[in-house]
Amino acid sequence: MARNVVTRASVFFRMNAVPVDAAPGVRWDDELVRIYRDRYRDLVRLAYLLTRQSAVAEEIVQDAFIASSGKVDDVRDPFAYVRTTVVNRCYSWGRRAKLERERRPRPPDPAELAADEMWDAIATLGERQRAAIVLRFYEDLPDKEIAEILGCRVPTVRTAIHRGLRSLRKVVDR
Amino acid sequence: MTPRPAWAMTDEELETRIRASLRRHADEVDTRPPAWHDLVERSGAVVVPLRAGISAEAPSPLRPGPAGRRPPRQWVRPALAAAATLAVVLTATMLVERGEDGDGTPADGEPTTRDAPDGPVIPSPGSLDFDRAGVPALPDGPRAEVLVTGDPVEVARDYLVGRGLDTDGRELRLDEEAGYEMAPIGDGRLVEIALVWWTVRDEPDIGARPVAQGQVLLRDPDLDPVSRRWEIVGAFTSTDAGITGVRRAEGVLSFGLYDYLDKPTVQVRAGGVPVFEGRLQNDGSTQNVVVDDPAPGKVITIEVQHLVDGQPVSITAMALAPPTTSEPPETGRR
Repeated sequence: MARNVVTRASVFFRMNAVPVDAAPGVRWDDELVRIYRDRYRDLVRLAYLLTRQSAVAEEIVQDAFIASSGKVDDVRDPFAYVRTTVVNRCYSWGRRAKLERERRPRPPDPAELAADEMWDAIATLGERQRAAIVLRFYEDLPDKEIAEILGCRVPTVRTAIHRGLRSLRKVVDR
Repeated sequence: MTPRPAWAMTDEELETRIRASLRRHADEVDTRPPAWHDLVERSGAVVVPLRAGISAEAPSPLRPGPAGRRPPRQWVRPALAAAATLAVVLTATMLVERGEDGDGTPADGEPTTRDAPDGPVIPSPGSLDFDRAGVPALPDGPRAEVLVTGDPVEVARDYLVGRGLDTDGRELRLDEEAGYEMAPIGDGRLVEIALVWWTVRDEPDIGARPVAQGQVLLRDPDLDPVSRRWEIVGAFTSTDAGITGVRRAEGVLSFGLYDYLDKPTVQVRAGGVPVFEGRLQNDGSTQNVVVDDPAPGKVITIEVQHLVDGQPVSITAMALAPPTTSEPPETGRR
């Protein structure tokens, strides 16, 4: 098994620093593995709600864990860190997918569109509105945490949720 | 500001529907992480040393998170112990409530305290992942003479009427024409799928909000463009109560029930046998039920009906093939 011993040693050295909120005796490396083991499926589900593609969701979550494993120095809340990484990667993927769709338009399958009115209505929201709606109504996060994840101000989150709800109402009340 | 029409849903109803939709779709995603070492080895990323005694593949210890507030929806953790406990609690709660309300008849088979089986999840007909080409047809579908009418709309109508769908005097309206699509089966060939929407409305105006709405999915199994024989492979409702993915293994069925309604009474039949009846909780979550498989070696239909005064007002149904892999009998296990 070929491993980069130098990198591994340096990571191990850096991981001896106990993160701010970690429980006594729990190191960040253990914590990341625990999150991976216990919350992987939750994160894939969250990513699926944002991307609507389960294979993409899995790939994004796995990439997020890989990316997180190298950035451990000053993380306050490991799970929040990984979750933010997942949401941001979904966000990026959504933008790329949108560009691709615009280049290669494909008519939506009417049967798919009709399968769940609300689910399809959520898909019509913009990236930020959809992320805010999912984080609020699926993850049950307060505005402040959503703002931290999306990298915006709290009023922006409130506006996104308000407008998202208004858009959803228009669709489902038609 | 435009006044909201009287039939428009309240903010609370809108949020409840959003939560229910998100959770239902999230619950359809059932996955397990690859082993941690496989992940980091595959990626070429740095290898994080594990503390002695911790395995990435070991069952979850179910300890609370060390930092921040407790994450929401802890109950969806993949640990079997938690899933089994939850199923027991939920089914017990529903059974108690059913007893208090007295509006349900006892099911022939009671939910068991067994663990959910560890098999693959079979997506339900309302899911985009539902394998409409590969699933077995409903074994107790419409009559043979109806199967060959050539019109999937008529087959769907016969099925809904035959299952006793109660419209309370309203017209059961089906699309005049089915939607068609081709879907691949295992050997690369394509089969034709027909999708038929049905609705029940208070008013004849087709723009009016439906009281109930659903879809029947049919398949032409003959791979013959001349022949027109339709078999039903699933049905679901988009406005009511239904079922999420099903697991079938080890003599056990497990499934989740969801609803968009106010504590509806639902009955679940498996292989024609009532295996569950009770009121759902309408709290935006999927309610998990684990029951004995009434016919482990056979193709069976699992059917969810929303009952009002004992009559079904919605139908969700799918057929389940017997589990393909059977584990060798274990000995010496506790």
